[in-house]
Amino acid sequence: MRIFLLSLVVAGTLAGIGASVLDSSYQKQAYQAYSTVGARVGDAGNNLVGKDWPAAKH
Amino acid sequence: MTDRNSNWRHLALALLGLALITIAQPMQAQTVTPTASAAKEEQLLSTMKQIDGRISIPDQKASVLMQPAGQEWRKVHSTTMFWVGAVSIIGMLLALTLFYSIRGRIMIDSGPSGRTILRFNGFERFVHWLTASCFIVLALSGLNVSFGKYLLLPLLGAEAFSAMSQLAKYAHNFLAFPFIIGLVFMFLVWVKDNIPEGGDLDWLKAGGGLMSKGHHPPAKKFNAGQKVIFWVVIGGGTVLSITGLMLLFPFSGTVIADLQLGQTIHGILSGLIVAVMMAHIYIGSVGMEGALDAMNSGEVDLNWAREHHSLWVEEVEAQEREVHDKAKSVAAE
Repeated sequence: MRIFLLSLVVAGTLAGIGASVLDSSYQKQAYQAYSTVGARVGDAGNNLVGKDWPAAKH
Repeated sequence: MTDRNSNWRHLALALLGLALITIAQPMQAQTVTPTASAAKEEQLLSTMKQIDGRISIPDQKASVLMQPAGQEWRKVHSTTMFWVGAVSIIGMLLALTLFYSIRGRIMIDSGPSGRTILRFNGFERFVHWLTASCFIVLALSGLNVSFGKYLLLPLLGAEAFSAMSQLAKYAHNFLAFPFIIGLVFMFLVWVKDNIPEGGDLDWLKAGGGLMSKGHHPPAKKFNAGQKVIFWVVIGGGTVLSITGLMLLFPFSGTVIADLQLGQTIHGILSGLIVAVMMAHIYIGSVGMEGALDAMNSGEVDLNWAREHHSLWVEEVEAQEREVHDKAKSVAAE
C-alpha cells in the first residue's frame, strides 16, 4: 500500500513538474499568440481585458 | 375621322408595346450574375489542398480558411473512433461477465499454503503502479473526449461537465509524462522475462488452463498471456506516447495532416488497449484468488505460484539451493 501511495505522489509530482516547465517555456498567453505588439492597446494587465481573461469576466 | 385617328393611336401604342417587349426579352436574358464566373469551392479545393490567405497576427496557422481533410478526420473521429472504442470496451465487459458467470473466481486448487514467495520487489511494484495509476486517469479522461458528451453531460449538466472536462484535459496532458517514464522503466525491468519462448505456445494451446480446474500449464515468471499484455503495453504505449506527444506539441515539426493521422491512431488504439487492460485488471484482482498479492505486498502464496508459474518457482528454489550450498561450503572451509 505504501508503494502504491508513493507511486501516486511521484506521478502527481512529475505531472506538476511537466506542467510547470511547459507553462513557463512552451505556452504563450493568448495576447502574445494572437496579436502583435502594434495591435495591442496596452500591455496585458493594463488593458481592458487583462492577463486573466476568466477573472476579468466576473 | 376622330374614330380613325383613335384607331391609329391604338395601333401605334400596340406596336410600341410589342417593340418594348421584344427589346426587353434579350435584356432580361443578359442579366449579369457576378458570381457566375467566380471559382467554385470544389474547383478551389481540387487545385489546392487547403484554402488560405494572408494574415498579420503571429499565429500563421490562423491563415488557413478551409482544409478539406478536416472533414474526413471529423467523420473518422465521430464514427469509426467512437464505435471501435464502444464495441471493444462493451464487448470486453460482456466477455468478462460471461467468463465470470461460467468459470467463477479462479481459486488456488490446492488451497493457500500459508508460505509465501517474493514475486515482485519494491521497485517493480512502484513502476507498475506508477504506470497503472497514470494509465487509469489517462484512459478515463480520454474516454471522456469520445463518450463524455453522451454519457456524462446529461447526468452532470453543462457547467459541471465543462469544469470536469477541463480538469480531465489537464490531467490527460500532464500525467502523460509520468506514464511515459513508467513505460520506459517497465520495459527495462521486465523485458528479459517477457521474451517469447517455445513453451508459450503450449501455454496458449492449453488456454492457460483458465477454463478447467486443476489444470495448469507450466510457465516461467510470466506466462504467455502476461507476455501478450506486456508487449501490448510496451508497443501500444509507445505508439500512444508518440502520437500523444505530437498532439501535446502541435505543429512542432508536424503539419495538420500529421496531427489528424496521429489523433486517429491515438483514439482508435487507446480504445483497444483499454479493452485489453480491462481483462488484465480483472484477472489480476477479482478474477483470480491470490493474484493481487503480487502487486500489493509483492509476496504470493507458494501454492498459487506453483500452480500458475511452476517453472519460475523451480528456478527460484534452485537459486536458493545454490546460494545455500555455497554458504554451507564457505562455512565448512
